Amino acid sequence: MNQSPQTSDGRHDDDATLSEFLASLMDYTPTIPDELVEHYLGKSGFQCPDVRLIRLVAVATQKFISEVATDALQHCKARQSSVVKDKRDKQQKEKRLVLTMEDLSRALREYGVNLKHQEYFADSTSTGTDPASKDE
Amino acid sequence: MSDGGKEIGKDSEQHSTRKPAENEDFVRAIAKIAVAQLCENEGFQSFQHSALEAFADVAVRYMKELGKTSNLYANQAGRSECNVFDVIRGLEDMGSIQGFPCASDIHRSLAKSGTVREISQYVGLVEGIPFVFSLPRFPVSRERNLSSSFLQTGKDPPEHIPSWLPAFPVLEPPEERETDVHTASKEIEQDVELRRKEEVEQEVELRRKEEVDLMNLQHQQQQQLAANNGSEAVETNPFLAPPYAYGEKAVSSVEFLSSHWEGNHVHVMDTFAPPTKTARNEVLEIDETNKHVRLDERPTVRLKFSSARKSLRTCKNVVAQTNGVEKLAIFFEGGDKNDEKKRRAEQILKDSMETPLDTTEL
Repeated sequence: MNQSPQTSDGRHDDDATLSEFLASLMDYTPTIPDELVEHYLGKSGFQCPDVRLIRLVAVATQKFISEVATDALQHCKARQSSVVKDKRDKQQKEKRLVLTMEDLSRALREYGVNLKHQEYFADSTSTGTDPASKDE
Repeated sequence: MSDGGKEIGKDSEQHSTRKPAENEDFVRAIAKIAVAQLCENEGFQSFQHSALEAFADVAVRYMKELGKTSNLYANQAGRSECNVFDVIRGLEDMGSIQGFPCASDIHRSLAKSGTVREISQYVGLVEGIPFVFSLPRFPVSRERNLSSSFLQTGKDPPEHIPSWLPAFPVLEPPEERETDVHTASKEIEQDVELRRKEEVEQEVELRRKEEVDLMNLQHQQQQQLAANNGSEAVETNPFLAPPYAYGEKAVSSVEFLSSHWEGNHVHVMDTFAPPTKTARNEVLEIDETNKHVRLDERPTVRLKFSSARKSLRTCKNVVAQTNGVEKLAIFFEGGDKNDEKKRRAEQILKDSMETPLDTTEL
């Protein structure tokens, strides 16, 4: 019932900001190419001739990926710092920031994606060697 | 990491190792590049391949799910095309796991949705980094040449065919094809003809497997048959003509002069002749045959099935058969100028008379 006292001017303002935002998307080049978004939207049954909506979806996806990547990066850094605390001699090797399945699955879990891989999935040398860092 | 069996059957189960469909390779590669680029922006320096695959898969699923939800809302509103509010509803659905501002307010305006505000904030904060490559528009769709319907061509379709269906393809020139019944009968004729050709081809196949003596007998009849049918086929379609039968078309082949074949035949008994004299006989024989064969009659390939052991007797037989007896007679009886050769020939002749004894001795 919050909408009822709102005047028509307020609605117009909201519409204006929304259309302004959509218009600003035309100047913004998202990293995810329009063609890719269009392809997958078309596959899912999405029909729209408006390029701004494609851009909106592209930006939304980009935002989602960036957030997950940021979280994964934080997980990665936290894990590295804990490793460094334990073994100071190995810190030089671990300095590189690598997107690992481990960090990614942890980051994605917060976004409702259950991504797991087997414990014997040894795609890095540290997999399975340090169980302390894997435990939640 | 101890929940190996729990997640089986969930929707979010990943198949990052599964190879996508053939035409998806390109799109998937682009998705991976885009995701990698975004990760690089965030500060990652490297990645595991499996993680990138999975992340790209998640991104693709995000887009698909968003499109599906938006489309669902559009369809629920009775529209086939989405508008911005459908997309915003979709975004809110996607963000419902995390939560978004003003989510608790049921009567909020979609125009000032919290998700859109967040996205606009994101756009304001992060500058747009274009994709590394310039992409062609895909998928490349060719202009389809739709065949015109009965209605467009202005023809009256048969009773059982609606007029909006595409017209029959034109096989013959249009003036020949008057009615559809006519074409149908033509098709039947073609079918019959095809079947006949197939039968002929099968016969040809069978014939090849037959034995040599039978072949000679049946050859000419079937040659005629194939020739007849072949000419018919050539009239209609040259590619459907049956293959040439053996001997139908003149081809260069290895020819045997029958005289040589028989002449070089070696009897079993003669193989036991003493080798010393037969070596010389062989030379003589070769000379003899070379004299008799004219150059234009000489075959391209001459196979000499002669063994080292051969008596002069066979040689004599040969020459007798190939009416070279006069020459040999001359050779033996003084036509030769060389006395020594003559003497040797006589000796050889004598030896050859003794060969039966030799064989019995052996």
